Amino acid sequence: MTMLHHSVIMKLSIRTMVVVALFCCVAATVKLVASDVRGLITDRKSGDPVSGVTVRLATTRLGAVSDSAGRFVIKNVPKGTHTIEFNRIGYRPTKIVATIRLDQEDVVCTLLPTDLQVQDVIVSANRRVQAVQDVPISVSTVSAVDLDQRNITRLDDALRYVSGVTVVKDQVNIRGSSGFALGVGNRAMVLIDGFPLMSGDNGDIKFDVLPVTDIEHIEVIKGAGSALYGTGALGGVVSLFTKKVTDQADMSARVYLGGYTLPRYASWRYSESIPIQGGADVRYAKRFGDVTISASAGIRTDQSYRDFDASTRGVLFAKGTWHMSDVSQLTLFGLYALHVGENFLYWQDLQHATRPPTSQDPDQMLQSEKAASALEWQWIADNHTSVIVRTGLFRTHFENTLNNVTLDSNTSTAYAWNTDVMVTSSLSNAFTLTAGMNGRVNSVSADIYGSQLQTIGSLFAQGEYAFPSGPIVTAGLRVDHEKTASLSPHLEYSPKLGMSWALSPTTTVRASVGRGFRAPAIAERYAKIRYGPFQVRPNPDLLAESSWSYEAGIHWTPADVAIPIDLDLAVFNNELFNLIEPRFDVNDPNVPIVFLNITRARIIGTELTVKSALSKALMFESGLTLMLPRDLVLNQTLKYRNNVLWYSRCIVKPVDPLSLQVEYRFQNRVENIDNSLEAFIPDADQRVPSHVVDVRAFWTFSTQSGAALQLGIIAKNVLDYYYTEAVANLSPTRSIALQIEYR
Amino acid sequence: MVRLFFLILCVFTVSCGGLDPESLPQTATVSGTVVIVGGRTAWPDSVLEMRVVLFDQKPSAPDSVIAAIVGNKAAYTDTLPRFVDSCTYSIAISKPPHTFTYAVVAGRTGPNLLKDWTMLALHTEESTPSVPATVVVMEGAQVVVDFNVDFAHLPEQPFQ
Repeated sequence: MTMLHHSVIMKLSIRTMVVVALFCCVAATVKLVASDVRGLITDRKSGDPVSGVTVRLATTRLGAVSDSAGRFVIKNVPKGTHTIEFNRIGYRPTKIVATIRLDQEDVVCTLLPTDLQVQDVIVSANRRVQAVQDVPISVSTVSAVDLDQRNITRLDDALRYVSGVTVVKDQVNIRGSSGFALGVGNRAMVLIDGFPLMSGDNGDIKFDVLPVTDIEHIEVIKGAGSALYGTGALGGVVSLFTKKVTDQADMSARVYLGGYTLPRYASWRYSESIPIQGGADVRYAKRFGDVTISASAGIRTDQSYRDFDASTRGVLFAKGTWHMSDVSQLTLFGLYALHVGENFLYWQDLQHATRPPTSQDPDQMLQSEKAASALEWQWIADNHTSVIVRTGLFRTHFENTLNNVTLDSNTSTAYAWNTDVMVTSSLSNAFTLTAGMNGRVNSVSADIYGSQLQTIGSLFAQGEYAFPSGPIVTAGLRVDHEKTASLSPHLEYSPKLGMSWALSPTTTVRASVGRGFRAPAIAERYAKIRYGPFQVRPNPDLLAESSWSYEAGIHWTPADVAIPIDLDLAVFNNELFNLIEPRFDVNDPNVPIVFLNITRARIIGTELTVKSALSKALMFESGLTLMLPRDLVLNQTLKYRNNVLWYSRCIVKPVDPLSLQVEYRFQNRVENIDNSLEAFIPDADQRVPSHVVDVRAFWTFSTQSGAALQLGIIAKNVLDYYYTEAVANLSPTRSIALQIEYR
Repeated sequence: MVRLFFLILCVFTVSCGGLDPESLPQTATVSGTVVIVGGRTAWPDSVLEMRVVLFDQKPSAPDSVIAAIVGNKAAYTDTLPRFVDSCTYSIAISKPPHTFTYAVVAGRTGPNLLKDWTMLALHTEESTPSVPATVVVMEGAQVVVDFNVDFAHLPEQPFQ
């Protein structure tokens, strides 16, 4: 049965790839004849050329990026009047209106530098390139500069300082959407270059598969995103984008080594020697004619601040793009990750918070493998229409071993196949239509889940209309059809409606309403497993959970003020229905945990984000999220949710090559957890507010060859503050690492 | 600027706060010995597992055993060894002071975890052996409660 599932998926994947390849061959012959717009972009103050500027013809798919001489070319531009948009971090966004009459037109643009990074360009909100202010929902970005400056080694570290977001044991929680769910059924969709990386069995995110050195920027959409992304986007979407490859070879290598300081309490010192952590990453990228290649590899080993928690992870990533013509390209990427580690589930008790229960077998290990491959074809069909076809497969496998022998009681192999076809067309200067279809098949073979097949087919469409008076109105609908063995097929309708309105060059308001849903992960429906002291019982009748998200916000970037500042304020209300939560079934003789549609909940909140650059040498960012998460069935605070999240970051550059960074993260004490856990786990109720401070210092040298060598000291949790994010799991204690990077 | 940064750094590098195992109330324990009257040969096969359980209140029905455990209204041991002459046990009481009004050795005599429980021995008043004795555990106390399990003469069951 399972082999049949996997065989069906493989055939579907191969068939789809063949169809895509045929399309590509046809498209490669298409070459439209129209005007070429050439341009030069310079810095208004210095007069120097500006490279890396994103140039986009408004309301079309046409665009370019300026080269090192500040020049760009946009081909096949229809004659007429166009608005050309210029965006680059470090400069004020600029628009110019140009009339294209000749076969070749020249455009000159000067950009005004600013210390404050404003008006990011994003892709995920409406699945096309837009300025962040033009979308009707809250979007946070972790820019390329951010990632570059912070030099992170794990991508969840980057998400931990996005306002409204928490990350607990690989589960991303956006504005309180997720609680504690034994690591399954994440309520935020995670994509890499548009391809979903959610496992087929647990429906969770695998951060260790993400190639950290290849990621250029991250976008986080807050609120239900199912109208475009379907199941899984109940709480939002985390979208990762890999780096663009240029003509010049781009090579980087990084090595880091450090350790955890010994804890203050003697009873927590499981070893008298300092636990070591270290790793290395290497990346190479270059363009060879019409083909661009990038490849990276990374390894990370961690002895951990807790006994029986050591792990080693490795990841390989490769991506190749064939630029078949000016209007079409074909991209293939693949990744592989391996994780071998001990399996710390929860503490013995608070007195022994760094040790697992004595009943846990120290020879038992957890091994997991993940592999993904995806093919994407992009085609600009004409001046206003583009097509993207994307298909790929994500395989995950995990098993428990005892003395290197696989234990039959806890293994799973899952395949998640995903295919997307999407068309974006600017039907007029004011109206853009995005429509497409999506198919997903999750196939699982596991002794703990059985042999399961879940298929979801979807159609979606979204229209955006820009009124001449300023407002941009978005309306969309997605229909998903889910089929599993245990339930009759059913439909989910996810509508959305939004509006953004630039009241002035400095002020934009937005409002949106949308429905989200999440089909239960196969693990939630069919798990029959022992998880530590818990028995988990299947519930094949589990239904999809859903939400309605309402949001209003204002974005304000005051001009001509002494201190550049960027403010964003949002108020939101998420109404959650049939929320899936794990509960103890006390009517069952074995008192198992069962995933049930039990809760009707409401999360009301507000979020304020402030960015400021006092000077080029001092930048500051702070985000405060206040929430009231209520369980409307039990009339109490929703379990495992925070009320207050406050993240702040400061970057100081006292002298040019030196960069000092301080980050502070506060989360209030989780008010409510399942008290029944105390019957199984000693001191399960022990929890405190989080006060975490991370500090980084980097010194960058330029070598004679033009490459940069960066030395860094990275200290995490420098206060050595002890707290929990997951029940009965002490969060990482203070660690200090030295890092050397060549790029 | 640099001074400011290093001042902040000095403040930050002072270790402080958060969870503190030493702030927990000093752990108290209830421990003792369970003696099988008649020795290992007295064990019937029908007893599938045996635990010492300290109840806040006397259970009124078979399913109140599990309800009390899940509801954090009882302290209990892991499964104790079977077919032995005697064994020792120890239960950490996480939040003393605490009063248990019904302390027993409980045996499961069937597959139903919810219902198949039999009381094998009861901690009673010395003067009146049929009356359950209260166990009061103060902070830091090491209370000793021993049991004699006589499979031929089981105590009065709290439920039938």
